[in-house]
Amino acid sequence: MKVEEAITFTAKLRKVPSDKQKEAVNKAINALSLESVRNRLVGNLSKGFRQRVAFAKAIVHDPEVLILDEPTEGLDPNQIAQMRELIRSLKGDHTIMLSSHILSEVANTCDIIMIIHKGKIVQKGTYEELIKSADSGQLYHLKVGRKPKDLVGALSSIAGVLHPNIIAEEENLLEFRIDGASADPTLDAVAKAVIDGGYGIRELTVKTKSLEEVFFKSHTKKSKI
Amino acid sequence: MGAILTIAKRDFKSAFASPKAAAIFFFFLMTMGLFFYNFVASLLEAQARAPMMGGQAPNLEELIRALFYNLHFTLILIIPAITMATFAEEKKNQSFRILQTAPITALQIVLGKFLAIAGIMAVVLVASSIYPLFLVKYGNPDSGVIYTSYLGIFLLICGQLAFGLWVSSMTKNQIMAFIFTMFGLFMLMVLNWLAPNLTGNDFFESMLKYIASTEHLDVFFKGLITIADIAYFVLFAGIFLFFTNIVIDSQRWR
Repeated sequence: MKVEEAITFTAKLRKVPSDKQKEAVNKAINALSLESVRNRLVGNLSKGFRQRVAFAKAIVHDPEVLILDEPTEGLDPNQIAQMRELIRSLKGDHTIMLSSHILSEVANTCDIIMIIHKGKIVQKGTYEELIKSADSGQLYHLKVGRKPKDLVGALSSIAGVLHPNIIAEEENLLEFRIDGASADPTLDAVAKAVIDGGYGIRELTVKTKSLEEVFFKSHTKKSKI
Repeated sequence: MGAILTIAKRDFKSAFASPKAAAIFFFFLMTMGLFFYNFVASLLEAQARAPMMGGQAPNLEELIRALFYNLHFTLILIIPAITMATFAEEKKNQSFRILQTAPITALQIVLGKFLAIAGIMAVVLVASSIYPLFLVKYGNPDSGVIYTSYLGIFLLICGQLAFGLWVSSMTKNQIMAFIFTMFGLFMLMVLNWLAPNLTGNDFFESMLKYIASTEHLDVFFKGLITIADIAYFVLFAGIFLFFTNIVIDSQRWR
């Protein structure tokens, strides 16, 4: 079937009134920029185009709710960007439910995010809310010149520093968290410990939390119970 | 009705857009042509020899009967090939979801698919009328027998297609659909030969013979149209379309 035929067929099945069919099909074709492949066979198209044809079929009857399951799966980076742009552009007219394992995609496109673990909703809220909810102290990465193992011992004796550990031994890279309440004095104490101990500071970075962390946390929290 | 025709039209068109319809036409018409050529040759030979042997020469009606009778074998190979893809293919490439989620009933899907393949076979049958037309042009056959034979064959095809649809609706695997359909249709054809050996009970024997399609078809080949035999084929097709409807309907909720 050709692209236009396939979309028209779906429009008919979805009971789009026959006088509005042509208009609806054209609208869907334009929304997904399928104009260039309008008369080509669907079977001969690339995966990205086929995904878009399927998308056009889904919106041709102007549904109130759209459920998308991994809409960018199997697409190249260019097509992913286009698909995200499209989903965002549809946001006003349709309620869109999107499921995905790619969390950056979720963070970029969704207004409300839910994390589901073993069939239960474990987290729900806007991106900012979720980030805040996973707050268990600010995460820092610290790179030193030598003796990282001794530094771990030194850091754990400082009040307010949580879970210091080495994450990359060959790079002498450590990570630790600082409890939100006493951030500044604790950081001073850490800096002092590094300099006094002669570890040789190379790099200290503040790590912003990502959705991955929220996701990981909400899953591990559940499985411990 | 709109949805049925939409589905039927799409399936009908896509069969002719792919080599599928061409393959069906080729094999059906070629097999029928081979049979036709053979029967005409042996008929002429028998007619030439009849005066010498003192026996009665076979007539054209017997040739027509033999020709259509052999179509039954051809159909057992061709019908499963048509029906095996109807649901199995759509399930495989996921396009079946579109049908399942559309605001139409399962019965509309089933009838749409059935109409499409019945339509294809009707066109094949029309094309195959070239052979009986030869007889009409060069001989003097009873045209009524040709009409009733075609009616019988078409009813048989409808029943076989409905059975094939039912098998196809239950599997994603086309090979499975093909084998099960072919075996089922074969059993249906030979059941009346096997019936006497399968059971000693007269009642069951006649019941098995009734289920077999062969004897009902013979009535049409003799030039008769009886309500009982039309009812057999219509019921047969109706029952299996109904089964298909149940299968498809239940799959919506899984």
